[in-house]
Amino acid sequence: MNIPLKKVLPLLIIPMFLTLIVESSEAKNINVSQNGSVTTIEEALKLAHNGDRIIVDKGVYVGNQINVNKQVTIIGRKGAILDGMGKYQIMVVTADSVTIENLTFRNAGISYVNDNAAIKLKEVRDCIIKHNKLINNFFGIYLAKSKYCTISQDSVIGNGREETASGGGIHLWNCDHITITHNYTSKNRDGIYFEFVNHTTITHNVSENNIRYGLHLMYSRHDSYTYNLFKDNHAGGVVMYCKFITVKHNVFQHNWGPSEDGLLLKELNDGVVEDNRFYQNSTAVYSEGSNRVMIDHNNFIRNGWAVKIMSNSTQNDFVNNNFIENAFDVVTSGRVNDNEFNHNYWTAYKGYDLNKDGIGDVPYHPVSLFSYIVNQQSPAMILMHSIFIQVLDVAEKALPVLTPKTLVDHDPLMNRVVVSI
Amino acid sequence: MVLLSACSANNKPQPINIGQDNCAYCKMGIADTRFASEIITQKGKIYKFDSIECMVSFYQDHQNADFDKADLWVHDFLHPKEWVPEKKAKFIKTDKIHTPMGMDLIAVKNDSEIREIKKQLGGNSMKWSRLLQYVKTNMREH
Repeated sequence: MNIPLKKVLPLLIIPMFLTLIVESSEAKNINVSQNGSVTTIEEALKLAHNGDRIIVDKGVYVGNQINVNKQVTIIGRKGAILDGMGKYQIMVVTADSVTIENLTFRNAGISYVNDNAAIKLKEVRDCIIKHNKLINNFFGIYLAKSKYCTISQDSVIGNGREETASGGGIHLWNCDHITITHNYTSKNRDGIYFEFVNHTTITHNVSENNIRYGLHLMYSRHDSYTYNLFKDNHAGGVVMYCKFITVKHNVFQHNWGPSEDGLLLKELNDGVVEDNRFYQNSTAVYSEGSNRVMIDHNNFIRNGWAVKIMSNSTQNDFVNNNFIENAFDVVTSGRVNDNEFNHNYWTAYKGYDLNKDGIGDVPYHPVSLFSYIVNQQSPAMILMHSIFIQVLDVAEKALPVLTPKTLVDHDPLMNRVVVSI
Repeated sequence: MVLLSACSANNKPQPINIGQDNCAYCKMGIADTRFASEIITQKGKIYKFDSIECMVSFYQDHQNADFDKADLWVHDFLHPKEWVPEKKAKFIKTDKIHTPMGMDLIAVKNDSEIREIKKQLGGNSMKWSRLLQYVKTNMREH
C-alpha cells in the first residue's frame, strides 16, 4: 500500500493540536479545605487560571478582603462560611465572568468611610452571584459600574440597626442590564437600592422588614420590577427622579405607620403601574411631580389612603382599578387636577345603573371633603364617621368648594374589574 | 416632616430619628446621619434633611425673613452624632462617598478633620458661600 505522506500528515497533526487545545483549556478544580493542601481562597486564587473552579469545603474562613481578579467560579460546599469579623470587606470581584455560588458571608465591617460589602463587584461584566446566604453585613451585594450580571436566589439579611450602621441589601450604582431574581432581603437600610441603573429587571423577589424601603430607585431609566412582594417596610417601592419604569404584578402589603407608603412616586415620568395588589398600606400610592404614568388594573384594598396625588403630578391615568374598602380613596393637595380617573370600581360609590350597561349613571367624586381636611390637619381624623362630617361631605359633593372639580370618575363601574393578583 | 418645636429658646438642633424622619426637601426617609442636616427658623420651625444638598436647596427656595435668621446645622461626617453650625463647618466634595441625592458633599468641624478626610478620601474643600453657589448650579433639575 502506498499512501502519500501529504495526505496522511494532516490526519495525524490535527488530532495532536486538538488534544493540546483541550488540555490547555480544561478547567481544573482547586479544593480549599482547612486541613487540605490549600487552606485559603487567596491561595487557591494564586494557583488558579481563568476558567478554573475553586471549591470551598466546610469551615469558617476568616481574614482580610479576598480579591477575585481571575475569571473563576467559587463554589461553597455546605457549611462554607466567610467571616469579615465586623472589620473587613469580604470579597471584591474585579474580573469578568466570575461566578460565586453557595457560600455564606457574614459580618462585613461597618465603616463610615468605605461602603464595605460582603460581595462587591467593581467594573465587571457577565458575573453570577447565586444561591448565597448573607447575614449581618454592612452592605450585602454591591455592584458598581457593572453590566450583564445576574443576582439570583440569594438571601440577604442585614444587621437591622436603626442608624447609620446599616447599608443596602442589594445595592447597585451606575449599572446596566442586571437581572435580580428570586432573592430574599430583610433588615437592610433598603432591600434593593438603585442609583443610575438602567435596563434592569427585578423579578420574583421578596423584600420585607427593611429599615427604610423595600425597593428604592434613584435616577434610573428603563427598569422593570415584576412579581415581587414588598411587605412591612417603611415604604414598599420608592421611585425617584426616574423615567420609563414598569411596575407589574407586585404585592405591596402592610407598609403601615405614620407617613408610610406602598408605592411612592416622586418625579417619575412615563411609567406603567399595572396588575399590582396594594393591601393594607397607610397610603397605597403616593405621587408627587410624576407625569404620564398609566395606573390600571390594580387592586387597592383596605388601605388608609388608596391614592395621594399632589397637584404637581399631571397627565396620569387611573383606569380600570378596584378601590375596595379604603378609608379614603383619593386625596389631592389643591384644587387643580390634571389627571384622569375613569372607569374604576369604587366600593364607596352609592350610585345606580338604570340602563344596566355596567356603568353608574351618576359620576363619582373620589375626593371627600373630609379626606381633604384630614390631609391639611391630621388631628381632624378623630371626627371620622361622625354625622357632622357626613353632612359636610354630602354638601361638598353637591357644590364642590374645596375639592378639585375635575377629579371625577364619569364612568364608575358597577362591578369589580377582573385583576389576577 | 415638619415638626413644630414648643418655642425652644435656644434653638438647639433636634436629633434625627432614623426610620421616622423624612427629608423636607426630597421626601426620602432619613437613613444616614452622616449627611443629615437641619434648619430651625427664627419662629422655631424645624426642618430635617437627608443631605447637605437638600438643606441648601430648600434654604435657597425659602428666601424670607423667617429663614434669613434661621439656624442651619450639619453633622460632622467623622462623628455623626455631633451637630456643627453651618458657619463653623468645613465642606468637602468627594467622589468616594455617595450621598442620598448624589452630590457627594460632606461636612466636618475643623481643619484637622479636613486634612484627615483628604488623606482618606481625597476631594476638594469649599466654603459656605461657594457651597451655596455649587448646589444652586449643580442640583439636578427635577
